[in-house]
Amino acid sequence: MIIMSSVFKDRTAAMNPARILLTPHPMGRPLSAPFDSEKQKDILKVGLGLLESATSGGTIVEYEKPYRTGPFES
Amino acid sequence: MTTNDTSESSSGKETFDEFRTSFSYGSRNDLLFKWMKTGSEELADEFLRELLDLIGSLIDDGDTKPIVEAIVRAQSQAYSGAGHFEYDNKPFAVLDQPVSESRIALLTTTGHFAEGDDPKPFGMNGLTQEQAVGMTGEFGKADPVLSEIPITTSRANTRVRHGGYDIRAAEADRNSSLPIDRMIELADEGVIGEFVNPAYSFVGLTSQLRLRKEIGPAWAEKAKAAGAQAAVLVPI
Repeated sequence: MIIMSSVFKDRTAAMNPARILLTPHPMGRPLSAPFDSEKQKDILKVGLGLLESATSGGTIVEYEKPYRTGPFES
Repeated sequence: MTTNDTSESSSGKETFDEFRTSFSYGSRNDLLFKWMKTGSEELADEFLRELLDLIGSLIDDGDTKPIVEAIVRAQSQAYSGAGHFEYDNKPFAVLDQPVSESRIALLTTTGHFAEGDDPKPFGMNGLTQEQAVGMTGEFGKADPVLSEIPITTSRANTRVRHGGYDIRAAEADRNSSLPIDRMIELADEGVIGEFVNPAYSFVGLTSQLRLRKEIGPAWAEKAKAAGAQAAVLVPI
């Protein structure tokens, strides 16, 4: 299962990996801004869910919650 | 206007095209904005004008969300299209047991490694981020080196070096791209069966063909030998 920024959606989709979760985040921050632990865990849970819910290769899901800017407690 | 631009350039004045490309390994190198060279001149022009407008609003409302969205939108436009790698096959495997009973590995292309276990690219120990940025051409032709990061490695003892992207977030908090701490928590909470030890990371700016044909499959076998039944992959 792949978690990555939606910035590379076209390039990733062209490779047809099994399961992709795209996050609406700037490059270099696929899971979150630094120390946004809540977002990191939520994205992992959604992504891990694809391991059970996807039924075919090339499954692409877009994570809908927006990127949150910090600062967050470290 | 074109004539004037050319004249100004030859007389030593910088053109807008030179300005926007300087953010990609040039005099103004900033890897968060290196896409301004990849995309069109018009895209860079529109983005900068929008950014300045949004900064004007930020002063009054403090809302950073539109700025983040503008950056993501511009980056997406710059990197739109299929790129160099297109595959028609759609590999797929069904997980044989629930995630809550599965051993899950973590592999990222972020270039993280444990303190004291420098992958020593090109035999160089302690290569700095700045040096890595200056060696992207060499990295792109070389074989990748896999770093095995014990999941007990503390955040303070986790390093990152990668000449291809803005590492500020990855350096401040590894979990923004190498979510070791969150995976440990998910294992403790029973969301996953087990977090495979070690976690894996390498510099994705590497020889892509050798990675796909030879090195990647060997790494997959290594992860399986460590017990992995599935993996979270985080390309940067």
